[in-house]
Amino acid sequence: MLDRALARPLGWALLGTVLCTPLLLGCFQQANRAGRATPSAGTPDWVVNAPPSTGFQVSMPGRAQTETSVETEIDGAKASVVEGHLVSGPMYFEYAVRTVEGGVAGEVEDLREPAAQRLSARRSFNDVRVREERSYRDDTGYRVLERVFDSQTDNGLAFTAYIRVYVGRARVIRTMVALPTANERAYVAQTSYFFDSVRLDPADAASPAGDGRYDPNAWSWAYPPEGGFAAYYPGLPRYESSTFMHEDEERTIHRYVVSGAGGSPVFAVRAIHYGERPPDEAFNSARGSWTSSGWEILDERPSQRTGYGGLELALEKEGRRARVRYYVTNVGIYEVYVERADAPGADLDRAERRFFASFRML
Amino acid sequence: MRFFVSLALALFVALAAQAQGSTTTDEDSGLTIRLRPIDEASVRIVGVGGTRLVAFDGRSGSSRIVGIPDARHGTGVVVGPGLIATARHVIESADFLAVIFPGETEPVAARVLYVDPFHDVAILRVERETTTSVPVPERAPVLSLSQRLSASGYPIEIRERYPAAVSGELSRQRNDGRLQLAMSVNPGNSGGPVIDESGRLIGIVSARGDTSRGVEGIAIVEPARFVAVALEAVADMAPRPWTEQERLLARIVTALARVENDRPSYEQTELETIRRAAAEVTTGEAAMMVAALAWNMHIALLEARRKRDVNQLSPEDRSSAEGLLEVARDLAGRARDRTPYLIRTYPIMRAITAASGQSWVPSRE
Repeated sequence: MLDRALARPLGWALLGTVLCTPLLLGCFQQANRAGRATPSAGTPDWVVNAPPSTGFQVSMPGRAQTETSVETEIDGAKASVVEGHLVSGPMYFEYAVRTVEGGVAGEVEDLREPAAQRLSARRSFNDVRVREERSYRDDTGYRVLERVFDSQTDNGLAFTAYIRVYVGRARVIRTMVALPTANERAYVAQTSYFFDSVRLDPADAASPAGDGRYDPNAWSWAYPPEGGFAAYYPGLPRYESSTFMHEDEERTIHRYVVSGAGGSPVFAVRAIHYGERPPDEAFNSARGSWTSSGWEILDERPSQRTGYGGLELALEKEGRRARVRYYVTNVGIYEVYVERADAPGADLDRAERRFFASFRML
Repeated sequence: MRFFVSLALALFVALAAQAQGSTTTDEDSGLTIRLRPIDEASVRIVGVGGTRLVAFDGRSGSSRIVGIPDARHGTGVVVGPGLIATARHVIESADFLAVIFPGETEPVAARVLYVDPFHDVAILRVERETTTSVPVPERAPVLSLSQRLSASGYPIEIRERYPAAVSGELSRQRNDGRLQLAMSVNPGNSGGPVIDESGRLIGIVSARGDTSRGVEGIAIVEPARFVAVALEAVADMAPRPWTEQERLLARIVTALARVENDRPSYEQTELETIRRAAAEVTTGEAAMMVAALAWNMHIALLEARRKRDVNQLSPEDRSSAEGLLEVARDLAGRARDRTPYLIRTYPIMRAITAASGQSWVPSRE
């Protein structure tokens, strides 16, 4: 009913990271299940296609015909593109690895449209409609956008296309399988095998997928697309996720953490995404997660970061202390904290200040 | 004796005018409009928290890219010495803020002091010895339904120098404690003060009806009590010295936000500001803000002269254009190395650091 953004937007605000809905693509799921169950069904002659200097590989039922080109992005940045495609029976396989000079810019969710436009631009497909879609972070830290399209060829044959786009820091990798809709079920194992065989360069992952080991000599920036924040960590953070129910909908908690030997010190960010402005009780439940595990609140004061309001807590428990900052945005709540032994340590003090000072909501 | 009478009369007129507030006079029409104290205390707030890319076909046939700010503008009200109350959502996500006082064009540096996580209220500190302020009542007043209320603010157009008044009635108190008014407010009114007939602060504008759903003519107001709570929270915060970076960034923010139809205009007066700011920036966000303005000015200069690239400019313009480009590239390069995450919120960073020149033909698939 109400337009909260009454402050006049002078430009279209780049939305904060759009959180993935827990919508599972039935067809991908089906394909994946079948693929895991019988990965070799109909795939004995498949070969690994690994275009050089891309860090990418995928198995296909033969050697793909490849093309390389250099394209200019809309802002003038050069992108080297390696494309490969193969027709096998009723199936069409395709991959494209786009390495962009200067890195992938802007919100990764904006890449949805180029994928659809590209498919529409193919003369063989008309009336392209999105059947299902989802986006998520995969195990290697890449942002993945999945879409299933239904379309028709010029001669009226119904086609289905499965597209999976992986977004890294400098590369965008598109993989696609298209086949007549009537053959979808018969070729589900091949579709699955193709997607399951994809291997990506871990060094280009958009989101950290580290071991989470505290290393004060190896600071690194983490700005995971699904997390919607940036922070400078002493080490390469480990990623963990969990879900909870809020108003009958499943919500995700993303946690990025580094910790020392024996669990101390801990530098962590928890991004608790509601998909909307969290209720006031969110503070209490976040705070309660500390007090219920025996931490005592020594101090509580207002905090803010780039206009987002929050609270800062100082806590202690059995010779340990923690400093926690909460910030609330229109999509969720962020918990930034450092937990350490309650003992003097100038290096740790500096590291703690550096970590908190680096935190930004994107 | 006559002299003293004249002097007393002049003094009385001057004092009376002061008591009634300042005035604005249009030279062409001769129309004079008196500002109320609440209008004199209403300020414009501009915030920028990133830029998006906009491509357009230039006048010389070149494709151009500029960084259009993800900017907001709203209203604030002076509630104490150097203290401005506004709506939280006006300043959320802003890397830098600027405040412009009524009748003025020069922005003043502003800092966020306090943000209420539960209510749409925030307090800023500005680098200005404010002379006018609106007292915030310690006790919540007793209001009546249908009571006449008035708001002051800067709706729609950021360039307007004086606030606009709007009046309406108290409709009800909502379940969430906020006030609903029968009052037509617009984008830019957010954070502006709402007063009763006697000039008491009732609250600040927080939201309006969602016109896309056919809801019009209502304003939602955060009660002044939460402003009082916020002021209590900042009462013990000692002012920190202002930095030259903050002063210059206030100008940069305002200049960056001053775009019309996604086209920056060339303002020669900003060149010195850009040069000075480039030497002062200490953070990646500040560097990108200045870099984006320098880049935009560079493109705007080429467009203003209808030239495809710098080689076609006059020597003087060419020197300016090349200087702007150098500043933009230097700052964007530093930001990219130190704060790589900014490629997400300032995608113009890639355009500046990776692009080969001033114009090109896009060949995006």
